[in-house]
Amino acid sequence: MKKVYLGVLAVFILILSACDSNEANGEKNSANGDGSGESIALFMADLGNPYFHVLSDSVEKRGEELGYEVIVYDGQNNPSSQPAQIEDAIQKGVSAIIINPGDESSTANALKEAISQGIPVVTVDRAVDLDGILSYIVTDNTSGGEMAGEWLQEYLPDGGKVVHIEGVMGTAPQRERGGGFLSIIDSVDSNFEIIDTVVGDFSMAPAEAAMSDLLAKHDDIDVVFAQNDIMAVGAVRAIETAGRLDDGIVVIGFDGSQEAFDLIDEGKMHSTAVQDFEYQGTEAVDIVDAYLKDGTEPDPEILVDVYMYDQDSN
Amino acid sequence: MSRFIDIYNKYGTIIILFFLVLIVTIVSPNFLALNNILNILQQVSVIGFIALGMTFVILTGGIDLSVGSILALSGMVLGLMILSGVPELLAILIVLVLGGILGFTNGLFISKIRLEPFIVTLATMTMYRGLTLVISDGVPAMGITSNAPVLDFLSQGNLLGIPVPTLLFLIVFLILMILLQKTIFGRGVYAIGGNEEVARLSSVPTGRVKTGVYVISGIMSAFAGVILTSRLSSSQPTAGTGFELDAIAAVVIGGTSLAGGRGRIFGTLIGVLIIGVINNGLNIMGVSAFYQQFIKGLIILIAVILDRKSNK
Repeated sequence: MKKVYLGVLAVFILILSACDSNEANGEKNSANGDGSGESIALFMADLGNPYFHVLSDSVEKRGEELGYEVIVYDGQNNPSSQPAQIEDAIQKGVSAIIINPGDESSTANALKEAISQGIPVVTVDRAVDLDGILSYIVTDNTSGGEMAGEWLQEYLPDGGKVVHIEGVMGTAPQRERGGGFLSIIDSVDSNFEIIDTVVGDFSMAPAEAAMSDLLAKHDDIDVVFAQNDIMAVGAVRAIETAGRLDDGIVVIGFDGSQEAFDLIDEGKMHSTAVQDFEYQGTEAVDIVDAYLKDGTEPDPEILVDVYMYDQDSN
Repeated sequence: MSRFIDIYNKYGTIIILFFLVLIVTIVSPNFLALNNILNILQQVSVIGFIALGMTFVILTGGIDLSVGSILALSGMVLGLMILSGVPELLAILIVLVLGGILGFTNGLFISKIRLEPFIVTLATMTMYRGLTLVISDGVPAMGITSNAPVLDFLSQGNLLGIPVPTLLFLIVFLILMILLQKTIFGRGVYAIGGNEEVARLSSVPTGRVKTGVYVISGIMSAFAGVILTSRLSSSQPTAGTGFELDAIAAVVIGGTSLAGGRGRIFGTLIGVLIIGVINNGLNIMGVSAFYQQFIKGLIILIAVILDRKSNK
């Protein structure tokens, strides 16, 4: 009996991994370059998230313009799949690596191998804990938080009562986005008052629950600042559920996700701080290009500004 | 004096709940506003369904870590089916059956291959979460209840002024209480938790009962997935992360022994309310985010210590 189960299990695993390898190895080559034969490997943490396609598309586009072949690998939201993909790319003899790592550490050893072979590595949106990375391009979360605060000051010049929904406590985006926002809104000469701060863990359900609690507690909330868009979407849902859409609570998010754009266009949400992935992708290729052509060393860390999207942005 | 101890033994967790409510109300009087009470009752139903199923599992001496992943997978399957036009009632039924199958899989590995429940459900927790990512491509499904009146009613509706999720929770609670206390199956659950070998010798079908409790846990988790999905009008691939811990905490606070064999499902009901009051109360009292997790853990610890003392 036991053997039958094990047999079934083995077959199951085989089928699964077969499915998986079909997709994971399905990297696609884009552009054919100008015959220089130079290629850039682009490793994306998760192309399942439509939001990240903006980044990969911009790398492909810029690479094409400069005559590189761009090979795109998709980590499918599984950081442990990236090291093997990197080794694969090293074997292929790529000239440079642009990576959006799934986490800070999984790819360190594989990238070390690449760096030791003289392949320049640029990380985008997330750092890798490793010496020798050519450059690290990331959203300037602090200035993004400040811009959200400045947008709010302009939108409600008379001030109001603000609820702050934090992301996962202790992470860099949580500290920086919140810090930037509070530096404007919670300052001495601000007309705004932070009446409550809750944790939404950068995800929808906890943010929705916390917002429901706050709606039960206060009947005079003017503003919600959520540190990412999916939490803002959760807050809007809580406001909807509580039948308080008519309160006209101003909801501000961060990221620039499609869901947020839709809610802003419907008038249920009011603005979001958009991370400029198009610029980040283009910049990554330009850095690699300059380094390959004449050894230009870029800044080790490049902070990219966000911009605000609101109803007037259409 | 012995009378007092008797009362305490019987109602220990209720007393803890009462004091929690009292403290939060003193600090923040709007805690007891009807709006907020309904809000708490509605919010606890999700963890509540899971905790009811978990009670059966823990009474057999087992554990089910896969509940949050089953919630996510069934919520995602539900969302994708609704968006592709499957009739709502059919979709809900399919999802509940799916939850049962996922639980049945856990049960098979535990009762037939005799693997540790902790290990099996740790593995399936990861697998079910993985399947959720596979079918969703890691992207949340949004706008689910906009054309789904039944689902909308399940999460937003009211009957006699009581939120529908709360009513459903109470109905399921009563059914499961009868199942646990008035049936042969229920007696089997306690017998296995007490001493599996003795239970087997006294002709309890241990394999079937053990598989059964994981099926119940799976169906309850899927039920929670249905409620959460309709409440958010969205299926999140990360939904339910960490819910197993809140559910286990609710069961243990409710006086059920992790070793199995001892405990009551009514205790779980109180445990769920305690967890709900803590979560809501910390937000209502405006406790700093940094302190919240620590305080929550501390209250759980105190509740369990008090309950153990009262059971001695």
